[in-house]
Amino acid sequence: MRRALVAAAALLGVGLLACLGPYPNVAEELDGVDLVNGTSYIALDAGAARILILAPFDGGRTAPFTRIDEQQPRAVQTIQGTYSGEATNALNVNFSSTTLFTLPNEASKPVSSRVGASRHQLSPPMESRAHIETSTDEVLDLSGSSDVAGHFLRLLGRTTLITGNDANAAACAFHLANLAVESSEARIPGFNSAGLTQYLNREEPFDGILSGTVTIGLVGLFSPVTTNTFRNYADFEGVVLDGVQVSSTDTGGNGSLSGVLGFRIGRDDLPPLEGSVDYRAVTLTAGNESGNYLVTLDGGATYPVPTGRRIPSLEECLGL
Amino acid sequence: MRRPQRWAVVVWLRLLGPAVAAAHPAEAQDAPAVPGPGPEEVTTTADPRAGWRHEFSPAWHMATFWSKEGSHYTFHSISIGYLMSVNASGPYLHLSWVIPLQARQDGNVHSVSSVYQNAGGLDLLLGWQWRKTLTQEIELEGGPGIHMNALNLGGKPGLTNFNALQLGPGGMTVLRWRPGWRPHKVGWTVGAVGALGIDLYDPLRSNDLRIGVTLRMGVLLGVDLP
Repeated sequence: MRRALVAAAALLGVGLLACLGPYPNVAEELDGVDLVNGTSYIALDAGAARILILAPFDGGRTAPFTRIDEQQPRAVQTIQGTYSGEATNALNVNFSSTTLFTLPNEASKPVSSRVGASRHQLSPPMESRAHIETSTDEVLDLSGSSDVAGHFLRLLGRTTLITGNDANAAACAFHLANLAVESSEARIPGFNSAGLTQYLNREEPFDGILSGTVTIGLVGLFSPVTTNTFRNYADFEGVVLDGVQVSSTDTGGNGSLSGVLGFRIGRDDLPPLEGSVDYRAVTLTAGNESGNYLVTLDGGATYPVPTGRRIPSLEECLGL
Repeated sequence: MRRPQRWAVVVWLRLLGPAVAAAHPAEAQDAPAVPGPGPEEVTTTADPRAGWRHEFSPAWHMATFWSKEGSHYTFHSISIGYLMSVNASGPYLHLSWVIPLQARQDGNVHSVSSVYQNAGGLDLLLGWQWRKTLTQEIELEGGPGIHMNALNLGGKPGLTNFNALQLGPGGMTVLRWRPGWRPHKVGWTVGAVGALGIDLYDPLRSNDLRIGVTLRMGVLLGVDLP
């Protein structure tokens, strides 16, 4: 009875204060991600990162793929599906996308008006045709459809450029780890909006595209405390997350972050770069971050990395 | 215990007088001033439609609606309702606790208990009613109103919640049978109720609602208070 009353109060409160976006499907699974275990590539275009994960064909003619687009400030679009080469010309590749995850940039909107992260099944699938211009161990050049085109470099080969434990290395490692954090947020329905109320007094795990889980839980309707717990979480090669990120706000999204998130940056032929980010110096105003991330690489000092635009840029960090 | 002051009694009577008159308009109009009728005559001439009615109503509740994104949803539920109306013409309230049993979307049918936990809802119909006496013991009541249908279905682990807050115009009709038995001057009634809501707006869901129809049909058991 108490839970029913809480649910009724939550519904009434949310109804009065916010919108939750379109109706969900009946009996819809929260976690709709497909696991894709393959080679991860990264391309950058004016600071916007595009990550492409291609699973091997393993003798077949089609294989799963994932493409993650991340723009600043936080906006993520992830598509998943399968790709296949044309029978007559193996350099022509068709990407067939069946699932779309979006986390739109809603920084200018009040939290109560945001739609937040959502998932859409693409029916019929979205077809994107590309042509392989270059394909080596380190480089993959795709032309054609803007959904998948880009000058891609193998991610594990680029992370080798992040070395040492100084301020620059700490910032670069953080920016790379934060790509995985933001990528995870796009797959949690309702994230960055009032839709998070559906996690009130429950904990829901979401699989990483490559491995592990991120579990989200919310406590308190009018002073919500949201906890994202990462366990061996990886969306793409090169970044594994372990730890917690906690946001404590009022209903308007004003408050702060806390928690410590550990990260491990994988590098070809080098030991992984391990470190952590402490969120206690990040303030939230209307759901938007300001302040500093306190980043520490193992054996190094703690450096503040400002929120907002990446400094240094990912292009500089990864030599792109 | 202190005795009430005379002025307080006067004020209380002044305040109560209009309220009693409003609750018993037909009695007040029908009762001749001189000579006073006997008690039996008052009972037979009093308008049975006067006063407050409070009723308990179990019902079948169906909410079917179409979203702007192109899906068609239907929820079949049982509801436990409280119905209230006043006088031959006056306000009415239908407030129901809704317990969803079956959820459908685009041809897929789900037992609510298999995919949701803590499923429940509220159906509210508030408006103005008129009552017509068909025979000495049978009457018909009906009127328009504003309607709200709120549903909240908490998903089981791994599944999404489903909730809605739909608003629109509505209406209801009640067929009521009042047997002559009136213990302690309290009238008992049984009957049937049907209510319809046409929902056009959902503030909770970015107004993804194209149109919704809510239908409630049930029985009622109630009392008429003087």
